[in-house]
Amino acid sequence: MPIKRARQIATADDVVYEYGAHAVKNMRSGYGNALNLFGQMLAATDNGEKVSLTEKDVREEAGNLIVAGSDTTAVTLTYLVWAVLKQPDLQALLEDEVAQLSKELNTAELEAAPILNSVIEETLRLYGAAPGALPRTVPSQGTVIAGHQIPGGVEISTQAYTNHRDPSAFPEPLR
Amino acid sequence: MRDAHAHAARRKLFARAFSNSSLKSNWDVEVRRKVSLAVRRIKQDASGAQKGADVLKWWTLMATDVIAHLSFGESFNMLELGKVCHLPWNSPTHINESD
Repeated sequence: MPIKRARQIATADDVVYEYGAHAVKNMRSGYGNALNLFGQMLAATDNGEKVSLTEKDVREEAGNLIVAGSDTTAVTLTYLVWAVLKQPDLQALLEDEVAQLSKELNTAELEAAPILNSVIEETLRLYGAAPGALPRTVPSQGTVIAGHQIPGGVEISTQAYTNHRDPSAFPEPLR
Repeated sequence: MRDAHAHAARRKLFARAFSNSSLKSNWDVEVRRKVSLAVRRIKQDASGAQKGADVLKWWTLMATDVIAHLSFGESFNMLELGKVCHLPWNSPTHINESD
């Protein structure tokens, strides 16, 4: 229903902020499975180090992490599966490599598996979920980029989508 | 956050919790548990009577449960539920995705 959906979108920020209460509670008193990153951050600070992480900060950062850490990962993994399945030769190579590993698939052997890691890197290069711009401000004295004089204060950016398909860095960039 | 000093302090705070060693020692078991469950579900759907598995759906539920557990200290348990839920933790206003 469009109206219900509109209401959900309009209140989504409030809802996530409400959830933040759990993040704050578990930061202070979480143990075992209820630990969270914020509690671990505080635990890792040096004695006497000044730490400012207010309740509002934790609520907002928890909300940020939900946005940054859910769809991005899911979309990239989905592209990875698709990219492998449409290349049966690659699929066979990858399956062979993983089949050689131990049953536990420990971190060290996964990090050392060349085909698996290439597949991940190439998926991130071509189908990374946020191939966006990285805006920067030109310093006041201005600069020259690729023959163009850029005045100070102008916002410029590089973007991952084009960089990741630059044939001078990646021969056969679309393969 | 645009203040360089405040940003540096926040970044330092986050860097420890997001370091490889911290993530491995604190979260390896829990993340593996969720990944295994997602892969099991995909396998079930792919080999079942259905036409196939919706991998985007299962990866979304998996990634959201993982980051929810890391951020809030409690999973949304959407993998167990098998669908997106909007207000988890059995809140009185719990709404399930109905459409």
